[in-house]
Amino acid sequence: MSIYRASHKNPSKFELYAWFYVRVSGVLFLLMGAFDILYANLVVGRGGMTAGEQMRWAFFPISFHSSAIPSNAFWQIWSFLLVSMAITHGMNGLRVILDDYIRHPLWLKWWQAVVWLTWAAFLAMATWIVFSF
Amino acid sequence: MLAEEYKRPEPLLPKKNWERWFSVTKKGVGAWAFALHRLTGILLVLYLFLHFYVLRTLTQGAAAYDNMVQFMESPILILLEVGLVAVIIYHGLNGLRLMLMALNIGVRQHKIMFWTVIVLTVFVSLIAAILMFH
Ligand code: HEM
Repeated sequence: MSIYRASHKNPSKFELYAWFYVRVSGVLFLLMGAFDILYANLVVGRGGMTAGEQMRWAFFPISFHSSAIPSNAFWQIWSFLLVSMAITHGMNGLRVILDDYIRHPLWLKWWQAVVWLTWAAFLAMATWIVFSF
Repeated sequence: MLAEEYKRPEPLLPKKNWERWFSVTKKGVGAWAFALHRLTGILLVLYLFLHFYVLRTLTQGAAAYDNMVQFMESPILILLEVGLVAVIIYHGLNGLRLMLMALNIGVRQHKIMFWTVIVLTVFVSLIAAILMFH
């Protein structure tokens, strides 16, 4: 194990699960995005949404990203899954990056706490946004 | 399990040497792929922050929101949106490349896969640019 990376002093299964999660969520983002694009073109129909709307819809299918698809429980749950996974994937990425660059254990702990708090705050905001629109 | 055999590359340098992590000179395409993946990952998180910040207009009534949407339709913002497409396509496709390589698929072809990722990213972004400026 690394003698340089502070967090490697206490190895745990967490890193393995995080590694696995990043891969699974990455594949899911691509599949879900493909589904959103197909839905916009096949179900809503060609010309039903502008290119910009389709792009936004593919990234995050929520009613205010489209003038053609009204809000319903399916899209709310779908986009909640998508955004909460994206926040977790991204914040975990930041965690990994901090782990690579910060050598002092105390500074690392401090920045990791910031990442966890930001993760929680963003999940709360995302929940509010998804289920209000 | 495959994943158990995986270890993130160890930091090669005992001392703080940040710039070396992003240094791509004399290290080949793998270093470019890594630096770009990390950079696009960070950009995507920053974008997420910014997007949430902009969405505060949703709490300020319809007029504020419409105002924001109108601002988003200016050419410079559309250009930035095309940039976002490029960033996410690169990160997503290169992510797939990384996963394939972790499954021991195409490790020898990693260079050609990298260039495929680049070509596809440019191609998709051009299509997006044409469609969105249409
Ligand atoms: C489009 C589908 C996506 C795929 C297939 C994907 C795949 C991956 C993979 C495989 C990694 C690990 C890289 C490594 O171990 O070196 C990664 C890292 C990362 N991803 Fe994603 N990702 C996607 C979307 C996103 C999104 C939407 C965000 C932002 C919210 C994001 C942010 C990050 C960050 C910050 C990292 C850490 C970078 C690093 O450690 O160098 N990714 N991604």
